[in-house]
Amino acid sequence: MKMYWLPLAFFILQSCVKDEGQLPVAANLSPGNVAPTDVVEDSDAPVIVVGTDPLFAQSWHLLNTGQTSYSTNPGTAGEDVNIEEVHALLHRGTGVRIAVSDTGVDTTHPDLDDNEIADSHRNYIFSNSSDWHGADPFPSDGEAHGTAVTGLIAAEGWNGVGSRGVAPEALWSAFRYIQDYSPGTSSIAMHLDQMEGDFDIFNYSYGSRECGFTPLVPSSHAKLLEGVTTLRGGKGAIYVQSAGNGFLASDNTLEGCTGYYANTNIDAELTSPHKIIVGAINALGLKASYSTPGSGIWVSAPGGEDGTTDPAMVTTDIQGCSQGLSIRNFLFPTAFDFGSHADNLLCNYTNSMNGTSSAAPVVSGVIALMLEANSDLTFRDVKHILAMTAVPIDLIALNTLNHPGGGALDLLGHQYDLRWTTNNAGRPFSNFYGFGRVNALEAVNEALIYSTDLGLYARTIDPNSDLTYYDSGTLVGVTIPDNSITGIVNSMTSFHNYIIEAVQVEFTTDHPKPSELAVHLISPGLTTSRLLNINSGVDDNIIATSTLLMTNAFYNENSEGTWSIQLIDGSNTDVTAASLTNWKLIIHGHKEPIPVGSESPPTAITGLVPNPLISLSTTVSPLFTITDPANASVLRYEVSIVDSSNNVVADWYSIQNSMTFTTTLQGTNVFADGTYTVKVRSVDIDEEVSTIPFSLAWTVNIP
Amino acid sequence: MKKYFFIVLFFVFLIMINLWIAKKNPSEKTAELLLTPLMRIAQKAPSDSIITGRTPASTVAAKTHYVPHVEHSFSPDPNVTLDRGQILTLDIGAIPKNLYKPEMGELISEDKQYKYYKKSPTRDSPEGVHPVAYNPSKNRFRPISSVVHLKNVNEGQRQEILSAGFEEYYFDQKLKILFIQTSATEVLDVYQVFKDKGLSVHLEILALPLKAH
Repeated sequence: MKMYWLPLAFFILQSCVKDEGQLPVAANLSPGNVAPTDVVEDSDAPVIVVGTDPLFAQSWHLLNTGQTSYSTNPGTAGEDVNIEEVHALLHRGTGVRIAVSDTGVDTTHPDLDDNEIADSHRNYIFSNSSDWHGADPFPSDGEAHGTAVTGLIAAEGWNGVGSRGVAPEALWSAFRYIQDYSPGTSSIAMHLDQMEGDFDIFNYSYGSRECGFTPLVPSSHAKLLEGVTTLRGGKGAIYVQSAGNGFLASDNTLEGCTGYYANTNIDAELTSPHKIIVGAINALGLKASYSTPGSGIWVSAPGGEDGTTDPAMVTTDIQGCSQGLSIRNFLFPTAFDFGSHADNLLCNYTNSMNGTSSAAPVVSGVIALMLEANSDLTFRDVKHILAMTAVPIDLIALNTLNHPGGGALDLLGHQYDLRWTTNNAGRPFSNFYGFGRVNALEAVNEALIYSTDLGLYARTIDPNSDLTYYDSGTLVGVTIPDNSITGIVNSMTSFHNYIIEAVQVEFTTDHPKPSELAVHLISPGLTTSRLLNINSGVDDNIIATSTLLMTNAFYNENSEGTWSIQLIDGSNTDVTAASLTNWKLIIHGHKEPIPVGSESPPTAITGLVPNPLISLSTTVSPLFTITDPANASVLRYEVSIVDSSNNVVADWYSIQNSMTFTTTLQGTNVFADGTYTVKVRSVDIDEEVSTIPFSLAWTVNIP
Repeated sequence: MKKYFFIVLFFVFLIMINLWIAKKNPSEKTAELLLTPLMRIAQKAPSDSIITGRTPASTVAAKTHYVPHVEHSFSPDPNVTLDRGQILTLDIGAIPKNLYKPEMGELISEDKQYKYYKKSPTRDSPEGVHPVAYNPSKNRFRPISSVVHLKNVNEGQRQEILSAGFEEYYFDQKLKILFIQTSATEVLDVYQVFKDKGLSVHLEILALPLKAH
């Protein structure tokens, strides 16, 4: 029999004691009798809080004075998001619209209700999709997460109750989305729908439960691309997502894993460059104990620790002492829980919200401030400003050079993590922190004066065919040595000279224990990024097949030149014949602006010599050699084939920017004897095609 | 004094409540008993069936991951391709936990929401029983959603499909994905209809719930 009564008894006892306590001064506060400015108070005692938001004094993420935030230990003064001056200058996110896709929100909360976008909520709990929009998103019992997240973004400011959000005048809408799915519904349809709408920012404080390489849902990545290019009138919605809480094997609720050292690259949903992935830091200004690292992280923000020993986040909770975070922790309640503290008699707030779930909304709030300051910012502008203004932190700690799981998981001579590296473009980057702790004041200031032209977004995928230009093909004999610090290195050359915004790698290996593998990527600028670390504990039952990884470490470098992938097996468990069998490189970025007047779209291709002119059989792929003396500006070549009656056998399709290519002809007509015409045209980096395609008659004799 | 009397009274009340709850929920104990023995199928597997759990369990045991040792057999549907090498089972059904009754068939596995059981060949499945996918790499069953996906559907095709009597669950106009609502008993038939028409149709395996971070 479980001891159901213990926590309940604890709660009742506390309530009884509370009844005899003095009515705290904070409870008497109202907009009419508050002081005009905030006064920071370090003590946890129920003293007079004279600020206009009584809990602001314990909101270390907004202003870290070394307060305890109702926990035992204090934080470190100054380790916050540098926001006080932003608010003082009246940048408060006014009018910016944020969708909080989460567990639902207590819409009647007095610290949230004035910022609610009425009738905009969604509730995906309904099996009929026509009922999703406009539905009440009030959460079920115990699902207080969304209310806490929303408060961190947009709790009202200077209203005499609670704390305040990072963007206290931003508008929020609640999507009740996280749920157990019913088989009469489609989680994929829900997923696509909650990425769409008239919002500036989408906050996603959730992630996968799996600890294996999760399957990539192509429609999800496609929807993101669509969202960042079409929403907000073409400026792009901003998608913010938490990195996860899976570091140090502490997250045992993940499916079927123990000894798991999470990485953002293990969750396919975190491998898109069209999301801003956020790591968490604590009140000491260090990586939070749980925060999942990875090369996909863009910036970090306060997420706190447990709230009992070390500060967590002070934010809104579902109202009342019968539900919510403030009554959840029976075994280790904080001083703020169960209505026992004078500052929280009604249990409308919590001091135990933590996780990267808390860090993401802090960043969403900062972005709201930026968009209020400059509504013309595109999604890529926002990312750029965040990266350029973030503060590198924790610069001297060395304790993560070794595997966090201990010596048995280390590989002698191998450095587990690179800590901060400065890339070839001069940008510091860390897998723990991304570009660093978000800096609200600098970000808003930069937004106000922003004039950078990032140019047109481009990526090394053919927009017409989804062909990835850089593909190793099937590799043979690229063996991964067991327990070796040198591992195996394979290289390919990029002809695109993009200014890098992100890089994705898709790799396939037959290694039976992907949990042992580190994947590193080395850029033409000789910057190394750890995409996966050795001995991650990732589920070995799921072999890495076309597994997509992403890194931001090469931001602003030039993409042209040799790229190398390195796979390192970090364990001596006698894997003898594992190989890297394929990898692809996808570069996201933009081109150097071309000086006005110097554009030169390609004209006719000359000098093409198909070689040899062969007789085809149904099993032969013809090999052509292209000679194009004027190919300097060519991005790719495209091929079309027509028969003698001018019927299209193969419509324009892309081939890589290579002087040699093979092609397998499609369609039945080509397999008849006859003469076909092969046309080749070039496409330059501005997607302009050559005006006169090269043509060549081609006689086919089927044996 | 009066206050302490009420405290004592509350304690007595709570103890009684807990005793009552414990008595009312023997399922906890039952569930523990079900975990190991009922996950093994004693009957001999047919020659074209798949027996799961043996290889992964033996190799995984020494590693850091825990995969429950589950041995069971089922017949795969060779005509249906699911994502990531998952297999559609022909003779396993999924039903919400509270609706399962032992007479429906032998219990194979269960998770937080569903029980998976061997369907009787001589008995029709009751309403609410969903087809099941098996994930060999995870050694895990999950229900098939009764919503099927059709990709690359333009507006004209969409109207044609709807006018044929199919019920739209959702349409993503930008991605051109049409989701069609069917039922647990019809989903495989509807899938086949669209497949026969040459459309890009997909079954959806019910996802695990997301995790709030």
